[in-house]
Amino acid sequence: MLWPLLVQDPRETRRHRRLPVLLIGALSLLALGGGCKSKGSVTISLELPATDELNPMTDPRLESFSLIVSDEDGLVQKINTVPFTPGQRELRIGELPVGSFGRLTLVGYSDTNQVLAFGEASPLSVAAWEDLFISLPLRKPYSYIAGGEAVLVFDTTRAHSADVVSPIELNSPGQTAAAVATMPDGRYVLAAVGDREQPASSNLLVFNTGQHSEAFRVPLNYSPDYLSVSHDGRWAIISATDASRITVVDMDQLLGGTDPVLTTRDIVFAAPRRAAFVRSPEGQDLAVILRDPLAINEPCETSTTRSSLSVIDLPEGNLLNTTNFDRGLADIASRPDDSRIFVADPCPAQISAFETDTYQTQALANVQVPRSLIAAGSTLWIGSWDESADVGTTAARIVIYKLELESPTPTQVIATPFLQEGYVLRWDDSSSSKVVLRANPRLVSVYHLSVPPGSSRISALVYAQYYGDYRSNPITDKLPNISEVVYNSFSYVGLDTGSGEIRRRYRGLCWAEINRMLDPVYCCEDLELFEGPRCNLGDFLPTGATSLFGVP
Amino acid sequence: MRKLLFAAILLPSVASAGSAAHARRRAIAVLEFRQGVSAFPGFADRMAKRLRHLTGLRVLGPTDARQRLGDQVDKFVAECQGQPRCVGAIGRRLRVSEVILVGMSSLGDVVIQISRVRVRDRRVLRSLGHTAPVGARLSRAKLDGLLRRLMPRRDFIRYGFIRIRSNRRGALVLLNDKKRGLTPLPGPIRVRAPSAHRVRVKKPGYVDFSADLRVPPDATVTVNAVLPPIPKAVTPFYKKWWFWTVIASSVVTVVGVTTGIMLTVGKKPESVPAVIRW
Repeated sequence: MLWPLLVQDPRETRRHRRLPVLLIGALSLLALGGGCKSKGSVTISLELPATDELNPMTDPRLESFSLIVSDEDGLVQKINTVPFTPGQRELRIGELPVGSFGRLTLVGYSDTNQVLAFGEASPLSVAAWEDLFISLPLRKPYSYIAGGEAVLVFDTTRAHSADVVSPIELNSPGQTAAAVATMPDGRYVLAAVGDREQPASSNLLVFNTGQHSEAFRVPLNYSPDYLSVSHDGRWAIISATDASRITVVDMDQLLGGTDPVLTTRDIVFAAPRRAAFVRSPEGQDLAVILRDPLAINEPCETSTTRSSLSVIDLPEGNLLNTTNFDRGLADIASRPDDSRIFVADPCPAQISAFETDTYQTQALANVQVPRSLIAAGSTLWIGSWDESADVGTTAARIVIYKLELESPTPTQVIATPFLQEGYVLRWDDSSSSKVVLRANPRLVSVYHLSVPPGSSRISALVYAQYYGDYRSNPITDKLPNISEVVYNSFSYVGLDTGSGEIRRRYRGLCWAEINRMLDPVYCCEDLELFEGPRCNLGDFLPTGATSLFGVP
Repeated sequence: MRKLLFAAILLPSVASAGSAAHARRRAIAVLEFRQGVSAFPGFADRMAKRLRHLTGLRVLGPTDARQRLGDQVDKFVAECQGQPRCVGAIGRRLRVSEVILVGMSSLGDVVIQISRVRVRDRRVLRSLGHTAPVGARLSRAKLDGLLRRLMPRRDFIRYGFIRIRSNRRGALVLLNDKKRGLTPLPGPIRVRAPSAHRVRVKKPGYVDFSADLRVPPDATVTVNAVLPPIPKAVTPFYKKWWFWTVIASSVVTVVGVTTGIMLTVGKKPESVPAVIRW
């Protein structure tokens, strides 16, 4: 068919003689090109933080790296582990299988298998004949704690107060970070920041985890209380109990550079608190809002709280259903690719599953007074409430349970007596003439949990109430006006999930009541102080915790 | 060269969109009632003005509403006390599909409550609250932000029309390299606006027409594509000897590459090496 066209003009016959020459040349080049084709490769380029303090590669404890390839369902397909020597600038980490995968995870370990560095990239497609370049943010597995005029940063792998990481300054005078959350890719940490005196100046601040510097700012017209990010990082929900509303933020749009004001949608709700995200069986993104939960220190016996769960669809924000309960709920949690919400239901002492399609609740397991809850894979971590039977001899404990969803029986993984506090009767800087009245905690409630990657550590926010009865104490003779002392303290606690040991404790707000009256002058004396201000009458009340690459 | 030569034949004319297009635009009214608040004078009129600017909606402000229903309209709105059923009835008389009701009260600060009421079923579609100190000024950016939260996103998408005519019947019309039919087209083509587009009109035996144009919102740009016959002396490029030589070489190249790879490389590897760099 081509040939008649090529030769149709006899005057151009001479030119057509060039054709065979061109064809032979092309074929020769092709044979060469084909012969040079080589096997593909994968180059992982690490995105590292700008400062040594944040950079995980400068940690002298790093001993090895593992590269883990998982499929779309999260099942591990291959793990390559190689030793690491400080000073290296390149690491050959073995062969990766050809194919499409859901996630690539890079983990740096110490000699005791502590996770010191973590990073993820997804999804990826490894080809046999092509070179693949992947950019992977690698970070230290920090926990971020909200509650003060800065976001506190804790290296969960460190046990000593000497290893303090610089906090993230909010640069918003007078404002407090009420809640924090991290993006699943580890690039950003979000803080809901507000001022109850001037609610209109509140913001959602998005910080780059590579520099701990502000990257985005979304104005809010109310003082926020809680913040959640969906498992895929697409949505963030900020809730404000006083303002009776939630704000849904389209994180894709925000991080993509859209005007922040255009990325939000407000929904009016009475008393919203925690939000959890699920995907319905039809693939619809849903959010469930826990409304009117139990207060941190509210016991079941005297509670009049009635909670409810509201289901809204995203992105429209339509309210699909509200289910009311005849009792107070404490917390909710969810996990990716599961349409159920897990509910901490302390007053019947159980963990339940709430179906987001039928709006029915089903009991999963009996757990002693669950007050906080998170879901990590197929495991539920449950923070509990413990009271001392005899405060004179026994301290109330931090109690944390673990519930595997396949098994109906929870395991108590941590039951550690909590630390003593003391009340300073006389304080004189110039001498050691002070009298400290020691007290055991009579009540400990774990009101928030966060699990860093690897699950060898757990971050808990803990409320403790101490009681001291000094009526029969010899000191009473000298100071007859002192009889009963009650302290209320709030702490961030880093726990070892293997031994149950308290590895870190940062005590925030603590106040004392003497003879049932608030004492504004003296402060609690932390007798086994790990970190935190020694005398703290109200500048830091830990209200939220999150772990980079962990849950939530 | 030909494009340049015939660029002068493009006769764009911008006019208001036709009545059919106009009929598709939703009509809304912005009404206001105040509970003893004199701050933010003309707020609803300002809001209506911004809505006209940002959206393709037909917007009636309080002034327009007074012209239609008389000065009593403010009294009617005040008597409604924000009740959607009552506000919807006013919207029905104004022949709009939605009413945006701006309520202002004072509780220390000025509290501005804005509700969108659908006239058909008197349903509140969305409600926003905003507080501002007395004497403050609501910036245009803030007002725009409120409107964007209040109205659905699709309302902020505006359209224009391109009407394409040609002196040749059966000429293929391409808009941004996408086929849109043969001339004469049944009507103008709706496009997002403001926007830029490339129009091409071609027919075998005639010189292609090409033009770049910008479409403003709610307007129609008319393009008269004149396609003169190709002069006979001109040989089409596909009859040139070099054209088919290049085609043949390309085909052989592709076949050769595939064959070369198949012969020289052989079995596909199951894994590839990985390296981490920083």
